[in-house]
Amino acid sequence: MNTPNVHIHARDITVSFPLRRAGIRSTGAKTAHKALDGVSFELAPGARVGLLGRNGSGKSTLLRTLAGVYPVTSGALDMEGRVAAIFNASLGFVQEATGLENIYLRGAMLGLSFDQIRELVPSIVEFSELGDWIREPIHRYSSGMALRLAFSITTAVRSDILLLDEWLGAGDAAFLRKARARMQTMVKDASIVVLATHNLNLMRNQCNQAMVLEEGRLVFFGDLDTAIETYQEFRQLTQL
Amino acid sequence: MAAAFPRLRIWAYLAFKQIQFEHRRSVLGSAWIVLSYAITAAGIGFLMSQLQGRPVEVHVPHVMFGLAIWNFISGATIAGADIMVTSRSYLLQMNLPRSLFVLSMLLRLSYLLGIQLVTAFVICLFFGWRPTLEIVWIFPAFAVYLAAGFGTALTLGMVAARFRDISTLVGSCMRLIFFFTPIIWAVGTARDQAEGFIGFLVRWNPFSYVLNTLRDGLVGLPPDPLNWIVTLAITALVLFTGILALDRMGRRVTYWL
Repeated sequence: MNTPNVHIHARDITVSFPLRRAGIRSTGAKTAHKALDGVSFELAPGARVGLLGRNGSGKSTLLRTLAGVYPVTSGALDMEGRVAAIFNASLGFVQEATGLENIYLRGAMLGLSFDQIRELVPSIVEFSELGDWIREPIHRYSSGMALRLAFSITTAVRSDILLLDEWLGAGDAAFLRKARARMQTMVKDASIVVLATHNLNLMRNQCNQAMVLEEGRLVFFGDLDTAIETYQEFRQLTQL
Repeated sequence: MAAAFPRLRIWAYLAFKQIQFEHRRSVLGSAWIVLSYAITAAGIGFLMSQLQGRPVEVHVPHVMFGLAIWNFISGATIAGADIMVTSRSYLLQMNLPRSLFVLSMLLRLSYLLGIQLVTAFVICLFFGWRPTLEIVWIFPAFAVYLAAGFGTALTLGMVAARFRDISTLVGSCMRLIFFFTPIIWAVGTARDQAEGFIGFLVRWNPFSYVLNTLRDGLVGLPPDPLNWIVTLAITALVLFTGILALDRMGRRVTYWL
């Protein structure tokens, strides 16, 4: 059931957020903030892209734009393939609900029917290694447990494009190995993975190319080593 | 909007679960939905029947049904104004149809309305109320409520996501309107007999028409054409503004969250 021709083509995409005060009082201050500024790139199947950049450089905005959360303000974003995303382990979980109920909740968000979710439940519970904890409400979970559940649900559904923001750091070593294996299977199935992280070791393990963002602009896209060098140069610039 | 409907079954289940989640940490759990409504509605109904000198078998049903219906109307308005903001964590997670959250909220309020109406039936029977054939009118009236709630929540939800003061304003207005609408008090039988400020309220407060459209069938009154005309006109208006808001602001709403 592979979607043929999975790809992401971004051409000069800009995302600008209106600033809060805009429209009520005109102070002459700027009325919009460009979180992404003229970003262009092409991703083909098999790409496992690391996303580097300082805080506020636009990593999360780029991922959310690829997920369809933010519409592009200008430019063109041409994507094909089923998208799955995890931006934050706590997002999309109802704290009062049990892990099991949250599987249904998130499954519904992913567009699954009742019966489809019921079929997936055993494999999700098994992969998450939560055992009996699955019947406990999420507010009792540690962040690592919540993360395991989020990852297990999101990747249980076949997707062509997987977007991950930062959070993998919360998993323990054993789970990270499993997560990595699952991500590699996805890439073998002609998928695209985009992972934003500050953890350079994690990035070296998971990715085969990288992008560097700086103030909303894409300053480098290519091999990992050069990307990490570029990123560290930008970091040092601000420390001087 | 059409994208939301195939998923309705799962969302109906989740709306039901949502009610459970809200009471999960309390000892009595979901029983509080029945209990808190039964205690306040019956208590206020009895108190007001004594204050206004109206027979309990008339006034207790008036108040109990009125409160249940008001909970739906004000719930759809207040929760509607907050709907995009409270759905923030989902909307920032993936691109979901905006109307899905409105439908889910309406389902949750419908469950509550159903539970409260059944509770009211039992208590009102005890006070001497008996259902009449007019009760069939509550079904078309409820269908109109759903449409009105959908339009209201979409309109206010979009606008209030952009201008956050709106939701606080809506909350204050609804608290005031509660007292300005004949929910716990009544003005005799005929609308035209009321005079002075109360007469003005009953004649010009649109909420009293909307509320009575559903309550009339429960308290054994025949459908009043004027109630229906006003309610249908309001419904058409909010559906129009709701679809307009969805079209103009729906895609960009995440920018403001």
